[in-house]
Amino acid sequence: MEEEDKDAPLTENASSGADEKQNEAFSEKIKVGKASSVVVKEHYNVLADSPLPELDMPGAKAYEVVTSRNDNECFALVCDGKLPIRSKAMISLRGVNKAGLLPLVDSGASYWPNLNQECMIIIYERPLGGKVMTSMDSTFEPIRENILIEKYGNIFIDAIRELYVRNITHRAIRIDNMYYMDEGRTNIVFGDCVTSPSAYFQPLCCETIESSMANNAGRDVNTLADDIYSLGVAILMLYLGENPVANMKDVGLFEAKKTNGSYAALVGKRTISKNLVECLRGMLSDNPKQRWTLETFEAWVGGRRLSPVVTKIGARAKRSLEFNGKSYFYIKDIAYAMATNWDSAIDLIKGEKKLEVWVRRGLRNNFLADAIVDIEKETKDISASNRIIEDVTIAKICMLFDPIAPIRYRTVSFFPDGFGVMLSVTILKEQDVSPIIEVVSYGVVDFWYENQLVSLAIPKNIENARSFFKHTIIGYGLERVLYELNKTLPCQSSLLRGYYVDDIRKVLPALDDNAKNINQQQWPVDRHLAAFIGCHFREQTIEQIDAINNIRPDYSTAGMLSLLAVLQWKMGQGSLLGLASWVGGLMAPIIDSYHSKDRRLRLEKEIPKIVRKGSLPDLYNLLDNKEERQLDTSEYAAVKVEFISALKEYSILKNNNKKRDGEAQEVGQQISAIVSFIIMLVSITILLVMRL
Amino acid sequence: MAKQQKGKKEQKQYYKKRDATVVASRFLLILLLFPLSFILLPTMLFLSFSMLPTWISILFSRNRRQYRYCWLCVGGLNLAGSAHYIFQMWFGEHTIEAAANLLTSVVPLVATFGAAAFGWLIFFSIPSIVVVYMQVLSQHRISHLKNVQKKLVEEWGSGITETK
Repeated sequence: MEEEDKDAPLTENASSGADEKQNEAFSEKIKVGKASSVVVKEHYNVLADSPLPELDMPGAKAYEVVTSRNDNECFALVCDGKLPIRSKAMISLRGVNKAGLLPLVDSGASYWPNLNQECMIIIYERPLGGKVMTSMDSTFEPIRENILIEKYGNIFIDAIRELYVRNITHRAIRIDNMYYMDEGRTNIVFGDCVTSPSAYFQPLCCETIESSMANNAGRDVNTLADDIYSLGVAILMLYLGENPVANMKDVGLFEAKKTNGSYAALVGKRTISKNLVECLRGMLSDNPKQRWTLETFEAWVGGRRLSPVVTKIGARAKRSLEFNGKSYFYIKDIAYAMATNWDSAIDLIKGEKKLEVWVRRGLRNNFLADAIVDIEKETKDISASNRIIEDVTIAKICMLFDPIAPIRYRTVSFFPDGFGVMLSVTILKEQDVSPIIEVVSYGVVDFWYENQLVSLAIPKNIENARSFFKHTIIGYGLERVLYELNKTLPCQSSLLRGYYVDDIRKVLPALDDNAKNINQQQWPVDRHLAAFIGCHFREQTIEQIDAINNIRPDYSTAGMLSLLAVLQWKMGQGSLLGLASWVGGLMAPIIDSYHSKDRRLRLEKEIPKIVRKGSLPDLYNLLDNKEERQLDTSEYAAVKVEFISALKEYSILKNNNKKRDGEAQEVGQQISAIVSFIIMLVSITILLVMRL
Repeated sequence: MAKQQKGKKEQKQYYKKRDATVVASRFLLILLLFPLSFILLPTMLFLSFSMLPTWISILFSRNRRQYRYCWLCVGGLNLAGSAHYIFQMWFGEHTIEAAANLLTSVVPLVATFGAAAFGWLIFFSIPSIVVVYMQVLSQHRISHLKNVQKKLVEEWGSGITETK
């Protein structure tokens, strides 16, 4: 790497003339593809009119790239967003130029006209020699053993070690995803591994027995053992010049692997050199503990010879267990049969307890039989429906019989490491997520960890997921688990349709742009968006999300406004006219929460002014001003007292007519007495004065 | 119980004392009026007849709370009507004959009884006027309160009408 860095400036100076030519070519190509060219990271012009079908990946289409930055030709893989990508691996591999790996030059989300939405576009250096094998059922010129071992062996070791150092696995090592980087077809590299989840598109022949049992989305296991296995299959195919099991169906191949072991199933009757047999047996071992490690493979490539690995098959029962018309002698086979015949599996456990009896008498394993009884007792205590209790029992017994197999539960089968990916794929494909939720909620996943030969602690994210599943309010629940477990997954909110929002800073600009296309009566925060913000901006948004869930519409509206305002303020994002206008139109519940009509009218007049500034914090400060709120409340209390006293007085005046009239009558009589008395005094006085 | 009995005893003693005082005061009044009635006999004779409406109103208003000021109205004006003739006797001939002449003449009787009638008129008319006046005042206050309430509801919403 250091050497490459030192050489870089020299190459730049020396190739200034070449750069000019390249720039001309770049301009020409831009002119040609002007209408539908997309710029990624300011330097890479992806030509949407120039597809490269020979470089397509199952989850991404390949297009030509024109750039003045990279000396070598590039191509782009455009992800359609139907599957989550491996962002962590993508970021880690960006800029890595290592033998054996297809150099990932850069990546970025841009608007893609063909899909009319923002997509993740990954720029790779273009492999000039094309694919090693165009498809899994085609043939090619076999690579000689000595070249395969001495040349490519070391390249493959370096490539896998590079991934290991970066704490990632490839999980897409297969012969149709290997390329010749040069036109002379002398330099093989592993192809893309980031445009789809781990091993999602791996054919069954390239996967271990356990990984084959898992759903495509549930194969994410962060160990090198699976890459070593896939590499072993790739080496076999490179040696043979074809896929030896191209004509076999998946079910047949899986059965063959289980019965005869992977090596025998894949090699069959083909002749393999004695030297290579040792390597392939080691790499294709069905026991992960016996499977070769990178170090063992490196030692073998270095010339050290090892004894071939022979995989031991588990204990065979004295008598068979009849299930679904078939006879079974091995517990792993029983576990697989139960998992694939889920609805009838419970008949083995309940009723005559055929399974327990078989384990006790046929297999003569009382420890295992007692464990079955314990599982039955434990699951009975679960407060859930009978269906769930039965499913949990079957899943746990499957795990008990085959601890290294994935978690199998009704329709889903996945390794706990792949829980997040499994969930995201299920949601993206709009499939039923309830089995996945049940696996976590009813302790099935915990049992998988407890049941491993080497005891493993239950990861914190599983505990968190369980807690989030319990809280189904906005900002939590399933959506929150989705984003907590898939931190780089773009927000799936329909409010952000067309935008690739995988970063909290992109949320408000996307909402602002989308404001004109969305019904303005709809809230700009939905379950997905609240969960996404809660996940990526946890500490600052707990109160706001709690407020959104308040029953009172004014509180929840204030919570929504506050959430968006905090984002704008913390992210330092400028004017958001579209979003401010949208949010401003939804503020009726907050305005109505003020008691004073004058105050409400004043706020209604003020809002358009602030909307024109595009500032959500200002809008929030206007509408949720504490002083104004307190003043309104105290004035309201005083007015209420005034109203009640007026009401009382009114009631008295209205209802006490008789009393009032009686009082008035008495007062009138008193007045008349006084008048009479005064007249008497005056007249007597006048008469007296006249006499005197 | 003991306290109640003690209270009743005290009450009885109080009523006994009060009755004794009333009897004593009435006795003193008779003692004073009796010699005076001999001196002012013509006046007394005249007043006893000319103040007849007053005596009737006193009898009428007894035990009638709503007419308790009636005798004052009638009596005041009745006395005012009689005053001219009393002064006529006091400053002229103060005899039984003079009193009898006045009582048998039409004009003095019309004057004294007319004045008493005017007293009755005042007694019945002024309270009605006061009642009507009070009703008008009350209606005015009611409409004012209604306006105040309406304005408060308009400004602060119907929430203020909730008494809780």
